[in-house]
Amino acid sequence: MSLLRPTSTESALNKSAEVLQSRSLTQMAIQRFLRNRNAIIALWIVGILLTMAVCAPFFEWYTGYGKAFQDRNFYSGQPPNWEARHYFGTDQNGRDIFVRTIFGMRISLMVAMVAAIVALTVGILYGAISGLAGGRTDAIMMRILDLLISYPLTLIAVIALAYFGRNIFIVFAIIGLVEWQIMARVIRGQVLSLRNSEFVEAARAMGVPPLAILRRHIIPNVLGLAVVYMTLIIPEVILVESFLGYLGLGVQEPNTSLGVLISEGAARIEQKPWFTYGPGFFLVTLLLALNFVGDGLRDAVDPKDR
Amino acid sequence: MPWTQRIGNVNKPILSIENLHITFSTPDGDVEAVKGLSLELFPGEILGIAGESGSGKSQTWMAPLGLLADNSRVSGKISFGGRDLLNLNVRDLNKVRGAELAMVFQDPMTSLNPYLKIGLQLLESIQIHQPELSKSEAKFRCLDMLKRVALTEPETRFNQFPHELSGGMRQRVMIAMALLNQPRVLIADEPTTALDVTIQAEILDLLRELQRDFGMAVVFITHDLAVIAKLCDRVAIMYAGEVQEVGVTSDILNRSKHPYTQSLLAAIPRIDGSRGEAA
Repeated sequence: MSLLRPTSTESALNKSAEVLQSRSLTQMAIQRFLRNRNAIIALWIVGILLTMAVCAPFFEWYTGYGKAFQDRNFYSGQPPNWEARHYFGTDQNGRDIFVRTIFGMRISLMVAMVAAIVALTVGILYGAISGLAGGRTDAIMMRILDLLISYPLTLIAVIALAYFGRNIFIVFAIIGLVEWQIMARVIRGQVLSLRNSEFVEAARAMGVPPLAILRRHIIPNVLGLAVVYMTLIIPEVILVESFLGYLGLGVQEPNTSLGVLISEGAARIEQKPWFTYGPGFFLVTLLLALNFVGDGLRDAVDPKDR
Repeated sequence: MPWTQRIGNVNKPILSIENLHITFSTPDGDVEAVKGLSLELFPGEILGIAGESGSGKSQTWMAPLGLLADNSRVSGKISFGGRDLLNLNVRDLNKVRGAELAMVFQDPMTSLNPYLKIGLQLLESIQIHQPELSKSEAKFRCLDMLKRVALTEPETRFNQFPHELSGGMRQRVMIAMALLNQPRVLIADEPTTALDVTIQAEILDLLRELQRDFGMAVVFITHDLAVIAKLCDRVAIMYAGEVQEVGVTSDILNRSKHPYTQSLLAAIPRIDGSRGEAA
């Protein structure tokens, strides 16, 4: 009996032809991500919500209600009414909750992105410098980080609000400045292990200058991880913003955010529960979807799979 | 240039280590890994460095390349081409390492950057030391070197990523990378330990052949005395951070009177099951 039947030989040959198609680790990570059905569904949801947020003025036009428009016919908090195009009802000022939810989501996402970009930039720089420098510099930089982490986020946000007069973007740049700590730690750990990895050692033995090692050998190996943590920071910042909004420290009228909307609704949840339904649904969906995307990305670039 | 001219005066060492001390400071106190080691490497020879784990054989040869860990202190002198490698700053050292002095590492699976194509990594090492070369010329030399190390389908490999190559292929790539700038000294730190025996034999033959063709001196670090016997002209036996014995391979392996060498030889398992007697 022959061990290799012709058919299996043939399929093996086909397989080896596929293998010859050269693929980078990034491409393989993307392929793994695309195979993860939960992550793809979540990505679609995030995409749809993002499009809705970007196209918020379209919903103003479509429903006929501006985000600050007060509907005389529906004055003071009416339940959802599809005929009147108040899909989520109106709030106590007669404003359409659906339109306000979309605008709220827009602010929430913008704020989260500002914070995430700040966190990404500062986190990568700080983590990479700390990891590369090593030794005493590294130890001092990490102790500074410990000090920052031990400060309560809310306190920092309140102080920043008092100082910068409620400019929400400055406040969130500051939240980003706080949120980068986890990013910095993750990046630093990765850089530290990369710095001692054999291919970096081999590059040093080849006489590659330090900056070129950083640019060509370390940053590309860290980038995947940084993107993963950015997708995980975004929902966290949205939550922080919602919490601040809940405390009444968030966005100011007529602007709103998901957190502000929920806190307004929560005050009257017994009489008018629909105040929270729409914004709550959008917040939960957004956070869940973002987390799924983040998890999917993390699985895709997980070094254990290499 | 024929190798007889390249290697120059055979009686004058190309690289010499004098009184090398390497100490690591650890939380439990200082550990002296290398204790006053002196050794000379002559042009065109293959010098085997044998010793057990922790004998300092790898650390000794990390020192000339400036690859020692941050918690190490080095003293002594390593002369190479009229310079003391231990006193060079990083910039000057970068002109030497990779160009005149190259290294092949133990584990080919982790010695290549997983995110860069093989070709880019080869090009990087040639462009750093020979920036005057045009890109096409550099690529031509890379492909040529891949052929020299007997890598199949060099053009395909050039555009592949490290994870698409087997261990033996990657080690060939590492050797090609080390030889691209035609170094005068190649340090091979257990280059075959991570490979299986048949591939090991092929890589050893390749190293021997390339060493003859390029006329370079090779330092071959290993704990495998059989490999030393097959490959090396001279051998240095190391133990506890010191050289115990240096000499022509056949002398050391057959007629050594040194007790450590004898016990090392006796430790090799024999096919008939009997054990050699240590003196």
